[in-house]
Amino acid sequence: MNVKMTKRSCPVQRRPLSFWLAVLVLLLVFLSCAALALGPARLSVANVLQAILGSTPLGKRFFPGEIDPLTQKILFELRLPRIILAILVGAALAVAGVVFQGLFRNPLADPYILGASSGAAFGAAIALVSGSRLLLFGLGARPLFAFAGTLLTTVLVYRITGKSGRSSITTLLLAGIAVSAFISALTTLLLYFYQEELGRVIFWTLGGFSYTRWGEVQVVLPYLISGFALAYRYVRELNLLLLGEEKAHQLGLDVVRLQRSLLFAASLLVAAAVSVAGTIGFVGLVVPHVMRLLLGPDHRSLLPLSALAGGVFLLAADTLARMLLAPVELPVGILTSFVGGPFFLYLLRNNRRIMH
Amino acid sequence: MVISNSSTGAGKYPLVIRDQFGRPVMINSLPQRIVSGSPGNTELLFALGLGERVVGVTDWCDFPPAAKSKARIGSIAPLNIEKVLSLRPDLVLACNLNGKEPVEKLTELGVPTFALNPVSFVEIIEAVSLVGQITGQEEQAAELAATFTRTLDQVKQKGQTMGRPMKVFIAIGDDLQDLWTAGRGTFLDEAVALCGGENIAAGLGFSWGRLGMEYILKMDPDLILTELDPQVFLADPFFRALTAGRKRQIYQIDVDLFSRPGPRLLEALNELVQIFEQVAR
Repeated sequence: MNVKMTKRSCPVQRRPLSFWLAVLVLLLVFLSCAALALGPARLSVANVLQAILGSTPLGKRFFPGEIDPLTQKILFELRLPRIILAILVGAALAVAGVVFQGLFRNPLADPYILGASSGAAFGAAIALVSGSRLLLFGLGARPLFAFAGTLLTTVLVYRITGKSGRSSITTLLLAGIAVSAFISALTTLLLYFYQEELGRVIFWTLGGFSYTRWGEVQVVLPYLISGFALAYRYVRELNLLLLGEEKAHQLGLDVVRLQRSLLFAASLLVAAAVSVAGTIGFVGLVVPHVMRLLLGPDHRSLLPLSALAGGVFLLAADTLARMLLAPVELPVGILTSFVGGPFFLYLLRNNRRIMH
Repeated sequence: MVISNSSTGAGKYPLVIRDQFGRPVMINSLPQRIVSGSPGNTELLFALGLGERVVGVTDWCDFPPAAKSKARIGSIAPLNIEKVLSLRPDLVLACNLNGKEPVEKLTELGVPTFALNPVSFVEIIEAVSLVGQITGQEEQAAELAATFTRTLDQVKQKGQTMGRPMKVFIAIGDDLQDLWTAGRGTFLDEAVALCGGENIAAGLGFSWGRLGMEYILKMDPDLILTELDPQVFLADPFFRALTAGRKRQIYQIDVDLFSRPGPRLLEALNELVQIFEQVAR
């Protein structure tokens, strides 16, 4: 079905990979510059240029003036870490989406819909409520707990859905909804008993980058890198899985091991993303689908370019979230869901037509 | 006045003081540009005569009226760090409503950030004198703290003479179908106890929650405190049948005042004790 679907939705003329790579990189650079320049604190262009160029040895020759300390702080300690984290989290969610969709061989799989995000939020909430600041092997408690929560939920959904070989859309959605609802109920219960942490936990359920610090970028980086690396190692196997579990098995693939590794990789990515940014919906759904339309189903290009596009998408959403009602900041999850909700319905509708 | 403060306070800066999150905060000089992180903080700053030195308030800071003309920093949570920073504050007065993250982040950025976390009347008095110390308004703070202590004592005294404790149901919300109540750890609960009342939601393990109708019926409150028009309760057969309903002991209070740990809590407390006296008569 997946193969059929991608065929159907594949445009007649497909542009080469390098074209989209260039487009995405340009977009990312342009958006990053825009996000660096825009914000509720109106910084003068001269000060911004001075702060950016004046801090390099070469640029200092052309911009020998004093660097405004406020401009420098806003640029390098507020906007820059936020931009980088938004890109990383967007990339992580998009790649997790690609992996989940390949693994479940289901176009509607997404960290948010599968309940993986709620699992991560629950884990992060426990870490928060228990006030634990413990570091295990230099890794923060929050991503670690989030990882445990994610792994638990995804394995659960996978067990429920995966029994029948290729998961039917109904089973997947229902399992995702049920597990997600259950986990969310646990989070709510936790909230009820730890009301003083309410504000902070609600932050996780809405998602956002308001308080991004370099420390957070550092804490999640090992999770993200290992998640990306592990997922990328299996791009060929993901392609084989497109043929179906049985075919893949006949072609000599250790399907069970592959599935385990992929679940592990996707969980790493989701946990890292959620532990710093909360549950942000639909990035893992919208981005891989658009990229599949543009590039086709080959995971060797789909995976890295989805990462890039995920970064672009979430950075754009976060910049809007910062700017739309400034100085009030919107939770970025609201904006991604505005795009993602309708897109999800569109996919659901298209899928029905194919199935019947 | 400011001159006399800076002259008396000049020698004591830099100053290191522990805030109500338990963090030591370094104040380098007499704060001249203060950003407030909550309506309660804003009211406190103005009450201590610091209105002139406040340069930024949240969108929710509507009292005193002069606060409305200050620069807006957006919502209480999430706090817009960039907006706060752009006002070049030398003191951010944060509170528990802002959460710990922005306090840490601002401190990291080199902005002296002092957090208040008053969840009881005693802690408010403490907050008043802390803010007095860091801003050099010790006299005003001492005066306000004394008023607080005096009022608390008076209310407590009146409460003790009230006789049999009245069972109180605090009904928050603007609809009978959607009533919330305040439990331990809220000013409403503490105020009711001070006035000699017995909050039926105290000891249920939550600070904000809902009560089942059956529980309310079983506890049969003598007094209902609500944001709504008391007539709404009297028109409802369930509430009319309760002791509070039969005796018409349903009173409107300004819940908003109780959710702002600031100087106006005194007004709210005085109004509440009057209600209790009226009912006791």
